Amino acid sequence: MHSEEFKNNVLPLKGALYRFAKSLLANAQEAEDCVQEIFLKLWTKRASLSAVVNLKAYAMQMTRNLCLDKLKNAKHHMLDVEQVTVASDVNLHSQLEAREAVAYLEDLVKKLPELQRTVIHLRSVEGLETNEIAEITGMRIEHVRVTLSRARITLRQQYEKHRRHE
Amino acid sequence: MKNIAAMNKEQLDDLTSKYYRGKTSLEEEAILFEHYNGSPANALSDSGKAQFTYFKTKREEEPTAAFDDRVELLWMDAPATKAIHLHLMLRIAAVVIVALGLGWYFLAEKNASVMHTVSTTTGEQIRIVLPDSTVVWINEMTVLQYDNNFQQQQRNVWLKGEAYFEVHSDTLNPFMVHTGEVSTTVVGTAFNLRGYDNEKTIALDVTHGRVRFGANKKVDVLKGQGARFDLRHHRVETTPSNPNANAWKTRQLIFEDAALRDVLRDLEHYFHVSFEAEDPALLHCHFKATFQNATVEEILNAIDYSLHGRHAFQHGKYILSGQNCKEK
Repeated sequence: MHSEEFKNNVLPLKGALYRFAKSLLANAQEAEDCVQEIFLKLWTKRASLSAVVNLKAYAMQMTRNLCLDKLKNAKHHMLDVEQVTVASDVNLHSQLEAREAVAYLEDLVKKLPELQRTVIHLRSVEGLETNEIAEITGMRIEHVRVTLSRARITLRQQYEKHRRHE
Repeated sequence: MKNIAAMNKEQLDDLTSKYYRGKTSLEEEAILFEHYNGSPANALSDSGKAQFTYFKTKREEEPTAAFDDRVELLWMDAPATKAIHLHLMLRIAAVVIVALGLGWYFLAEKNASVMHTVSTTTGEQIRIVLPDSTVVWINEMTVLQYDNNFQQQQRNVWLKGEAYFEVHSDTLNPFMVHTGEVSTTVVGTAFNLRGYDNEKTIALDVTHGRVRFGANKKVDVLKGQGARFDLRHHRVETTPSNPNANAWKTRQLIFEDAALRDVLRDLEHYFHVSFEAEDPALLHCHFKATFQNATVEEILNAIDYSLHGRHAFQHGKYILSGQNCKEK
């Protein structure tokens, strides 16, 4: 793959790779570093990239491996805890309410087991088919569906619990 | 809920239950997505509405504009690429990557290939990622250089000034920082190195791992330790690590029952102002506190309070006065 092809095929993946890395690392700056590293890796092996069938799935797989490595090595790493503002009894208007709901879900998603978090991200944010998700994660297709279902149900239960206690 | 996507309650319920069972197709999820993101925000008590609102915001996330610049540089023989500015007000334009001018200079001097140079001016701090994934935070008035074929053999960088390194682990290719006659050799670790031209020592403080440090005679410095190289006597000695060595990066100052002499030394480094104690006995008083993003006044007020003293700014320096703390 020469540089023109590389720019046309690999560069457009940056948003997807970034969002994926960010969902795993829970940190925007580290996510950018991670994607840069992936781009560099892809660039050095560009000669062999033409043989890759699904470049996006391939790059996503690399991103996941790198992120998991980083999480394993960085024991000092902490999820940034307080992005979520605690709901006050002020009469929030709808925009604020939406923002609060999003922040709360963000927190819930962070607390999901890694596999569930990965699967729900790839499905609902990146819109990938189950077989693509299976390829990236190395799971069986049926397992992808089950994991997806579990993640969705957990989010619903936790969210409803949160609303009831408000 | 009535007006959107021509879907009645029954159809929505069917689709929703299929969704939670993990059985919906991408097309069906797109319908749910449209439906929920079209419904009014006051429906947020509905978990489906909340989930799809969340997915929508997630889909809109993009890397920063600065990231595009970093990526652009990848196919220009992969030099160090800019990361995020620590000082928001200072823009990328302030970073000078001198490729040609200095490059030629070093070509002649070290008869090596082209050198990459990253330098900062007064008050500027930047963070870069080297081709081997090592992350370097560069403090102000610092020059960092490294070879073009950085990764092929040994990983060599040259430093004038101060930087904090998180070295990417690679046992086969040691990472070396050259500061004048002193070299710092590691395989994978994190440390702060300070070697400004106008200072008498080169100071190393190790946060993780193990570092080999020195000129002719070298010492091993472990995590939590530091070492100082005396540039006048060309001697190296190990010390406990200074917890404030990388305060310039973390914006946090920690004093664990430290003598005021050491407190003031750290404050001088951090704020670039001078301090003086009216009564030198004050310098032996001990002080314990942690500051985050504090101003010099805030810190001095805390010191005043704890040592029952006062401070004043005179002739370009802060003068601290108070009783000798030994009386207590």
